[in-house]
Amino acid sequence: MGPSGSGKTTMINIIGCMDTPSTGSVILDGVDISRENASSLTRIRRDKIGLIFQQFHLISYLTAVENVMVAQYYHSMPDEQEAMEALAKVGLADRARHLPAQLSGGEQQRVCIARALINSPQILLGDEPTGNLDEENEGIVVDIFRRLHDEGVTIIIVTHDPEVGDVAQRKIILEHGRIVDDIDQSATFGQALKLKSHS
Amino acid sequence: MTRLNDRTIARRNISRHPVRSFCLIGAEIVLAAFLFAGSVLVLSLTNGVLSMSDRLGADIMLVPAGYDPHVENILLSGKPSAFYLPDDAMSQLRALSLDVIEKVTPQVFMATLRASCCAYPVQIMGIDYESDFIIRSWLDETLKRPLHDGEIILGYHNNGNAGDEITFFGQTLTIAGRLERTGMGFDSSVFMTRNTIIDLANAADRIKPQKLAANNNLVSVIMIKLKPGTDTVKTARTINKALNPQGIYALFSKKFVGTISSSLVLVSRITKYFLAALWVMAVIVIALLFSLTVSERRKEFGILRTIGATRKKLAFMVLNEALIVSIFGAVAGIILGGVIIPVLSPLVAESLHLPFLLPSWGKILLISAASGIITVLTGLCASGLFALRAGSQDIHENMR
Repeated sequence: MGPSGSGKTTMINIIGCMDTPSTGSVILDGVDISRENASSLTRIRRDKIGLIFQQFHLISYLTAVENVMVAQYYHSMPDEQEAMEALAKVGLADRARHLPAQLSGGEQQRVCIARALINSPQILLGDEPTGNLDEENEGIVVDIFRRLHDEGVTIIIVTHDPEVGDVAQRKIILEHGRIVDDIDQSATFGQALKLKSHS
Repeated sequence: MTRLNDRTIARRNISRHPVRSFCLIGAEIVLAAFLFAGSVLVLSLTNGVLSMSDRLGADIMLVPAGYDPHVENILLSGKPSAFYLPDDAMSQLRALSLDVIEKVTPQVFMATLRASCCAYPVQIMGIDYESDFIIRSWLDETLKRPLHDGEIILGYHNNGNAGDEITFFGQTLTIAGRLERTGMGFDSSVFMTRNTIIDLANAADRIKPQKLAANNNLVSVIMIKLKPGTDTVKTARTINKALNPQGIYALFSKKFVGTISSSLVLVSRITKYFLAALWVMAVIVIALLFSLTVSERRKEFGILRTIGATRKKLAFMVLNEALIVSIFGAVAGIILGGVIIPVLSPLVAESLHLPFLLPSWGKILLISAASGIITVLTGLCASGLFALRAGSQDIHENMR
């Protein structure tokens, strides 16, 4: 968490292998990704990371299910049934054949989550994933994150919404590119999640 | 079942961005249509000229000195004209006693008028049925009987059907048949016996004085067929040396064709320059459209990169789109070219006064295939540079 310009998105970009740090090193699953070349970063991103964005970033000319399948295609092989199951998991089985423009913001974000999860990444990165959602859809998305966390997926979310920040196990506060606070919320983690998803 | 690969992704992009795709396909259509139609046009003109000497049937033509442009008009476009050799041209030729001559036949020309007396203005060719070797073989094979006085044979382009009656200078004539297409002025001419044309000249004399009415022995040209292996140029020179002073000029068909060929070379060169300029323009337009497309799609490429697409994959995707668009454009362009050719060719042939003969279907297919391949390769080359640029920027920059 942190105010605008504090470096939240830059940090997500670096962990997500979309940018490289000018100094220092980033160790991801034992690999110093600050030293990897572009094609190696593409491979790491493809195999280990799932990305969710505030602006959803779906491919406008592909349907919901195709948006999920395209991630499978660049990873290994597209499997429509698996993509449909991923959409069903986020409650969008009946919207699978719709184009992004035909979906609401909440639905688009859920497609984005299904796409991020389709290749079973070790880490799910979200850059303000609830920033463009109303309260109801925010609750749905946070609930999905809770289920994913229960299944063992590591989730790193950038947000400046304190309510979303409160549901995390660990909250890191950034200011001007530096960590100013690192809070362990393990004790209240389960309770906060329940409160958020039922609000 | 949904299949997803580079080609289906490219297809979805094309079909769901109709305006962008229409502009790209439109540029390819114009390129393919002009390449195809332009090439067929040049080849048809070349074909028409090259086949002329064969279709003419004569190796040498004797014409009145100074009238060779009129002969060109008659043979190339069928533009009506009338002129006559000196009275004794036939006997002067015979007096040369050239043993290399196999056949000789005179023809007499007359032009009908654009007036109520005549069905339409046309070049009339009076043949000497007994000695004719220009249309006689066709008459023997197709009509299977002699051409009678009072009958006419229509050139390919003239109106009317066998058995119909037609009026020239108030005389009613019967159409006996229609010649096959020759690609020459013969297509716009009408053939009849010498007796019939003299009757017409007598009738026309009442409207406008006719030399032929005053002197029924006049001939316009003398067609000469030489024995096989004879040197045409040398024989034409011999005739010219002897008969030029009498106002008779020997025109040998190869030279005649050669003269036309030089104007054809000019037309062909202009067409080639035009096609080259069009190609350069098409490359620029297609490259520009792809450039705009790639710039507009920065975010899309960024998204695809975040979900694992390599730069190579993105380049391949853009090339796939270019391939699909180019194939569509090439096929539609060739179809459009096929529609343009029949409309444009008579206009071009008429305005250039050149004979026009379409190439064989095999050659047309080859030209269409070549035009298609050039169009597709042009699309791929023009998009290639931008395909490499796709996804070359930083992902986070693209995603902004």
